[in-house]
Amino acid sequence: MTELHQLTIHQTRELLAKKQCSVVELTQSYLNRIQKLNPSLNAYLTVSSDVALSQARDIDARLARGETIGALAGVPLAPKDIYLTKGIETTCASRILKGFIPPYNSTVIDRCLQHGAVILGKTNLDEFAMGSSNENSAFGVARNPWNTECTPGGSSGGSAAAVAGDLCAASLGTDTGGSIRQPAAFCGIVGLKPTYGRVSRYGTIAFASSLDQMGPMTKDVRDAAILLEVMSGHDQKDSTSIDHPVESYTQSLGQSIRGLRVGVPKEFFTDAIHPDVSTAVQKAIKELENLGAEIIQIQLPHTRYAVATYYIIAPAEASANLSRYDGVRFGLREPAQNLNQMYQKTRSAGFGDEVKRRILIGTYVLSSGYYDAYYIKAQKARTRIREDYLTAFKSVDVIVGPVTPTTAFRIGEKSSDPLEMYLSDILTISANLAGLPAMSLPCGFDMSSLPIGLQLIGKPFDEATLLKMAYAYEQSQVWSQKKPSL
Amino acid sequence: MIDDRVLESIANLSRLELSDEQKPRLAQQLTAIMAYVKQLDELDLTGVEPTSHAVEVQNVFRDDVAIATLVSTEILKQAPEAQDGFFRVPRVIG
Repeated sequence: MTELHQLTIHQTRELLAKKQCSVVELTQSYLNRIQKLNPSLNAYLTVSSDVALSQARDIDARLARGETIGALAGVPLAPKDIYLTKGIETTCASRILKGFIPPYNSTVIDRCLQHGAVILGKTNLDEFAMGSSNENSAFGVARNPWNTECTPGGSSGGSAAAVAGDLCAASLGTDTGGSIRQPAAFCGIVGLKPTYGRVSRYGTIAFASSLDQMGPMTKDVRDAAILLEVMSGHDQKDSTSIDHPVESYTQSLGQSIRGLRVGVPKEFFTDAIHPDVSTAVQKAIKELENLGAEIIQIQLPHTRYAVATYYIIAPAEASANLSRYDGVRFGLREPAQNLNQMYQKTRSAGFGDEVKRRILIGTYVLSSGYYDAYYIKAQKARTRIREDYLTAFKSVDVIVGPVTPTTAFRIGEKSSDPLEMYLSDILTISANLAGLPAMSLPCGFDMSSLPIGLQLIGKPFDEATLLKMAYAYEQSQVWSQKKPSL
Repeated sequence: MIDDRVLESIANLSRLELSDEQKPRLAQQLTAIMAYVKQLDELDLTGVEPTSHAVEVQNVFRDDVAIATLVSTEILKQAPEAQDGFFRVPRVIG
C-alpha cells in the first residue's frame, strides 16, 4: 500500500481524480513528514504550512465544484529557495537575503500555481547556487537521505533530498553547471535541465545569466515531463526565453526508441570515473541497445577544457549579477559611515566564502588588462565546446554518459579545496556551456548502496527525445521504485 | 599570480572587505584556480568567434506601452530604510 507521501505527480492526480483523498490530507501528510524528517535532513529552509493548507483547501473546493484546474492541481511542490515566491521568504541560502519577502512570483512559480500546485516550502541550496554539495548554504548543509553522512549534491541539494526522501511530490531546481543533474544523480531521482531559453528565468535569482536554466526534479520520468510542460514556454519578461512551441512531452513517453542513435563519448569514460559508476553506466548503455538504440562511439575533444572555461565565464557573470546586493533596496544592511562603507560591510558580512571567491575571480577576469586573456578566451573555448556537440549531433540523436565521476561524497570531504570541488563538475558543465538539454536518471547503486545517475544530453529543444529514451530505460528497470529507508 | 596587491585591488572593485586572516588563504586559493584556468592557453583559438549566448536571439523588442507592474509601496516595504518614497542611505560623499 503506497503511502500518500510516496506518490508521484501522476499517481497523485489519479488519486485525486478518483476522490480517494483530499488535497488537504495529502498536504498534511507531507507537512507531518517534513516535521519529522527535516531536522535530520535540513532539506527545507522554509516550510510554508499556512500558505500550503490554504492553497490546498482552495483546490479541494474548486475540484469539488467540478472545476478543471491544471496538470498540477493539488500537487504539493517544494521549489528551491532561489525562485521568488510572493509572500514567502526567499533567501537563496544567503545571509544577505535573510528575511527578504519577495513582492512577486517568478514566472515558473506563477505557472505552477495557475496549474493548481500547492507550495509546501522552499528548499536548501548552496548559497546563490554556487556549489556542488549544499555545504555552502548559510543555513546548514542538507543531507543525503540514502546516507546522512553524505552530501545530497548541489547546488539543488535540498530539492534532491526532499524528492528522494518523499518530503514533497516534486521539486523545482536550477542548473548552471550541473546543479539539477548532479544532486539528482547523488540522490537517485530524475533531474532535467532544459535547453537554454526553454524555461523563463524571470523572477529566479540570477547566478550566471547565459548558463542558468530552471528545471524539474522528480521521482520519475513521467513527472519530469508533466512539470516541464507546465514550466516551458516563451515569457515576455525574459528576453532570453525562446519563442519555440512547447510540445506535449508526456505524449512521446512509451514510444519505441528503436533506431535512435546514441553517442558515447570516449572523453566521458576516463580514469577519473569511479569503476562502480562506469560499470553501471555501461550496463545502462547496453540496456538502451537491447531496447533498440544504435550505440555509436563519438568524440568530444574539448571536454577537458570545460571546467576551465566555466570557471571563468560563470564567476564573471556572477560578479555582475551579485553587484545588486548592496544593502540599499532589500536584504541585509550593515551600519556604516558612508555609502561605500555600507556596500563593503554589507557584502562582506552577507556573502559566504565561496560566493566571495567567485565574485573575486569574476572581477579579476573582467578587469582591464585581463579581459582578453581570460574572459574572451573562455568565450572562444565555449564556441569550440559547442561545436563539438553540434558536430556529434549530425550523426547521433542523444549523447549518453555518467553524470558525476563518483557517487555522493561525505560531508566535509571536498570542502577544503575549492578546485577539487570544481573538477567534479566535469561531465555536467558542457551542456550548460553549449545550451543543450540534459537529464539525469537513476541507473544503479555503488558498493556502498549510494545511487548512480545516467546522463542523457540532447539536441537543442529536443527534450522530447530525451524523455522518450529516459522513459524507455526507466520502465525496463526497477531503480525508480527504490527508496531510502528513513 | 594573485598576490596581496592584486587581491586588494579586486576586493576593492567588488566592494568586499577582506580581513588579514582571510587574505593569505584567499590569495593562495585564487592563484591555484587561475593557474588551472590558464590551460585554455593550450588551445589555438585564432579566428574563433566568442560565444556570449549559446542560443541565438537577436533584437528582442517589445512595444513601448505602459503596463501595470509593481506598486512602489510594496517595493519599499522591503527597504532597510525608506523615507518619503525614497530608499534612504548613509551619506554618499564624505
